[in-house]
Amino acid sequence: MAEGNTALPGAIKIEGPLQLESASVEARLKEVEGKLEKGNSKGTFAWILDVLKTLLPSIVLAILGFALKDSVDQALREREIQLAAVKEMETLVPDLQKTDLDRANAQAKAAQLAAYGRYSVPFFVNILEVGNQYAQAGAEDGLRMVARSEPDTVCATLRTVIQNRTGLYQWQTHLSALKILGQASCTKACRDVVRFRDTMSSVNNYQGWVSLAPIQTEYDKVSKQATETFAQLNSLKPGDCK
Amino acid sequence: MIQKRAQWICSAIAVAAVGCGTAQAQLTNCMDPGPRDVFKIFVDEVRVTGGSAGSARVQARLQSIHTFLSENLRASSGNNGSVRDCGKRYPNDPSDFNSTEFDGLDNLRVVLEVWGVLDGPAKESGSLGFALVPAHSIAPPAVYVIPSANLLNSLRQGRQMSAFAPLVFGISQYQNRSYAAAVPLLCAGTQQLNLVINGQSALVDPAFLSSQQDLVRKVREMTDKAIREARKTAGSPFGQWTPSSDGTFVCPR
Repeated sequence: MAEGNTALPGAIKIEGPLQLESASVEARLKEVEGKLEKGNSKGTFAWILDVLKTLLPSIVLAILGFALKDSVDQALREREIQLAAVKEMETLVPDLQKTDLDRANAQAKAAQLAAYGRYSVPFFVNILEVGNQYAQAGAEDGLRMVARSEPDTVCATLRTVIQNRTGLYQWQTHLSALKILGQASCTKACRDVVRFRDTMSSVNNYQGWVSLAPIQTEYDKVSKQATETFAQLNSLKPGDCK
Repeated sequence: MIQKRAQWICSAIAVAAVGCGTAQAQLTNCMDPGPRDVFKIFVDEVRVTGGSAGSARVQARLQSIHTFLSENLRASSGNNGSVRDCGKRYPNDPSDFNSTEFDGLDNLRVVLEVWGVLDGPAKESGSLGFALVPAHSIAPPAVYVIPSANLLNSLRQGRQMSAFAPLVFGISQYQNRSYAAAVPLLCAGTQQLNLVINGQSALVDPAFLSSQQDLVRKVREMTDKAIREARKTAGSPFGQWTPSSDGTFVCPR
């Protein structure tokens, strides 16, 4: 009888009603489907993004290459034109240095050189330094001519002339530079002119700046020109002078 | 394309500019302008008017005048400056010496420019032209043409014709505030200039004479101021000088 008392293993007793809630299952299913749909649309974007990620460096590289090639080509072309201009100017510069040159012919030669625009500016500055009487007058005229069409180049070059304090230039070149800076309305150079005027202070001080030591009357001439140039530029754009 | 256009512009400018340039001959560069850091006197060509200087005899006379002129100027200048032979440089007219020209000469430290002209191949008379660079600012136009009945003899006989040399050096020293150095030069120049004015009064027109006298007056004022300034220096030799009855200082005779 002991066997009859043995309990059956694994029998679970469930109490309460077994109720299937179909509405909540549907809601869950919808939620899962919604998530799946969202996942599908994200997948499309991801796919596009993946393609873009792959293509982007190539596109950027292509654009950069195109732009670089264009600017390099332009720079090379510019350089070729510059070299051609320099070669042609080389034949004109000695004419401007001839001893039998008069003022009118110096102006004519300067006009020919000035037709090369900004490429002629370094030549003119050099002639101001080493030229004879009428060559220097011609160089001043030439710089004025170029300043009418390309003022920025002339202004920037002459600014560096008056900024120099190491004896690279003669006082006559400073004088010409100051004169043209005013005439060409180089307002961006106004502060440099002010600094020049205020720091040249005395003939002894100014002698250290230039290669050929000026005497009192020459110093007075440069100082007067600096004041006149400042007045010209200040009347045009006072803001640039402060 | 750009190059072709630039060439076309160059050619057009060249034609126009050379056309303008040849329309009127002007002063040319000095053949031997000398170093930039010294005061200079430019001696231009001596020419003959109303005839050709082709014959050897005329050429020799012109060369003699040029040589005497240069020598006189050297003697008058002393160590104050260098006399430079400017070759074919020659003004067409005294008015070629305008403000721009004076400014250019001043930048080269040229104090005086001289040229000569003989009235004819067979004539003795002629004139000398003087452009006084430092005097342009005080007595413009500061260009004087002095006639002479016998140009070569005038130059042989004395330095009067080169009176302007010490004067311009004196004015230059004065403008550079070297008063003690300016006084003897201004005195010598004024003295010689007076001789020139008195000697030529019959030859030149009154307006021209008046212009020269104006220069002498300005130089006298300058001399007075130079002496006063020089006297301020201790131990100055001008300290012994006494002013004249009107209170101004004048050069001793």
